[in-house]
Amino acid sequence: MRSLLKDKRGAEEDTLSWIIELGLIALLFTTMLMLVHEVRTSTILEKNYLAREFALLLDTVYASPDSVKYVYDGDASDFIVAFEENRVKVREERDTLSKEYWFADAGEGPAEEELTHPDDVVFIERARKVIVTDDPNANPAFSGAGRPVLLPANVTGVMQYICMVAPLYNVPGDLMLALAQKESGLSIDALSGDGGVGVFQVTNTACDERSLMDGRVLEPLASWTDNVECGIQIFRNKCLISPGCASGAGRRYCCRKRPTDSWSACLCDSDGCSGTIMKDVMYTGYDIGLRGYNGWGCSAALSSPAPYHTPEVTAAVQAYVEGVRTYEQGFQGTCASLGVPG
Amino acid sequence: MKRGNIAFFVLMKIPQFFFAIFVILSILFLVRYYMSFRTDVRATEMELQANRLLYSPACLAYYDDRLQRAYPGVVDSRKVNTLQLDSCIRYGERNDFLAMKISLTELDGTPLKEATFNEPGIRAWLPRLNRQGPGGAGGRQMRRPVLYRDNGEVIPAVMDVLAIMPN
Repeated sequence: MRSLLKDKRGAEEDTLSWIIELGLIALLFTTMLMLVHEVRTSTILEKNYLAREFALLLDTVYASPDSVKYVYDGDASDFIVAFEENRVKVREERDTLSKEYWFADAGEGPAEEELTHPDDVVFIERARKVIVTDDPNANPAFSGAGRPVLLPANVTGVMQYICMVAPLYNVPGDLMLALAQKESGLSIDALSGDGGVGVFQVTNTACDERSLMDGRVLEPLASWTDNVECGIQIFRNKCLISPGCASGAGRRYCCRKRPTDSWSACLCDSDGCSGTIMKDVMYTGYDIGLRGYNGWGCSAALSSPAPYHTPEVTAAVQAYVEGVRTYEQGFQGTCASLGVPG
Repeated sequence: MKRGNIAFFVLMKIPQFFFAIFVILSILFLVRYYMSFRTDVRATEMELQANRLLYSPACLAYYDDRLQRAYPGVVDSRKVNTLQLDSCIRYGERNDFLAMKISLTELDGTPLKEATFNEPGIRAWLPRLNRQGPGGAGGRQMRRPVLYRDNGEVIPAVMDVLAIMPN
């Protein structure tokens, strides 16, 4: 109707009206585009989500009844994730403020770490503490101070612990597994008639040296982890009586002891001890430690009546070392497969 | 068209302009209102922390010192106290996030023991439980069958947990 009646002035108004309306439509369109762009590029939801995800994960890890290692399989590589003051804070580099959510520690201090664009987020709980790292190969045994006493007390846990302690004493983890297998079948409850207790059948109520892990006095009869460390310590000390034990260069003989011979005369580590004393079996390398762990067997009971070491006795004491070595073959690579490069 | 007429025409369009702005802002507001940037995980967190009480040797789970292992679901009677609970779940210096009330009863209903986690929180939020909006609090009642270990004796029992988180 309007178009039918419009004159020149009306036509100009109409054009102006269209221009203004087009301008308004353009404004609306631009605003909507900006909104869509903002929604598309915004990471507020992701940051909120990740903060809650990590906080709940931490709470779960803290709730673990035993040591646990958990590798987060989601993707947080676009963000900076900080764990501080019982908060998980997630932000992008361009952000000044983080999205955060709280988590509860277990009374031994909260996890503290900042991970920048982490490909992996790894949570390791031990002894009420949680370590957060971006290294998927991180192992609770070697990160940080303190004793990881909460490893599971099943066979796998015992094996992991042996593999973890052995390198501290510079002895092979797989060999220590074999020794523990020979001594107790890797059982923490093993008791024997000669008073041997636990994994390494230790009879000492206290170990000679303090723990290399945390400096504590070891109580091998009271704690299976102390039993393991004490057993490995005893083996190391038995090995150290011969300077070449670890290198394989050392040699040590179990001699045929006569009742009149002294102990020192019986144990020889050079050919110089020959002469009137008869050499029986020669041990080299770690076999010296193994034989020493079981006892050299040059006792009066074994050496009387003459001949002091019968072939049967020799075979019996030698069978121990050979038995451990046989087990060792079966344990080759076990420490590595358990994630502990013993 | 005269300049004055143009000015008049533009002035007449101002209400239309404001109306358009109003429409744009309304759309923006409505879109943003219905877009969620948050995930409410409070129910999950309450459930998780209640389970933590039973699983963690730092909380209530019985721990065998000789074997060095925890027994999830076996409640150590010596640990059922506020001091233990407040030390095993720590939200930092001040806990404005979660409170729990725990009561253990035998299967026939005989009360065994009670304890609270975050006593000030319980006092502050319990009266406002299930009220909507700021100042209110949400809660979750949970029941777990447990073994209650007291002086070496193990008693089948039920643990009721009331967890409260402020809005």
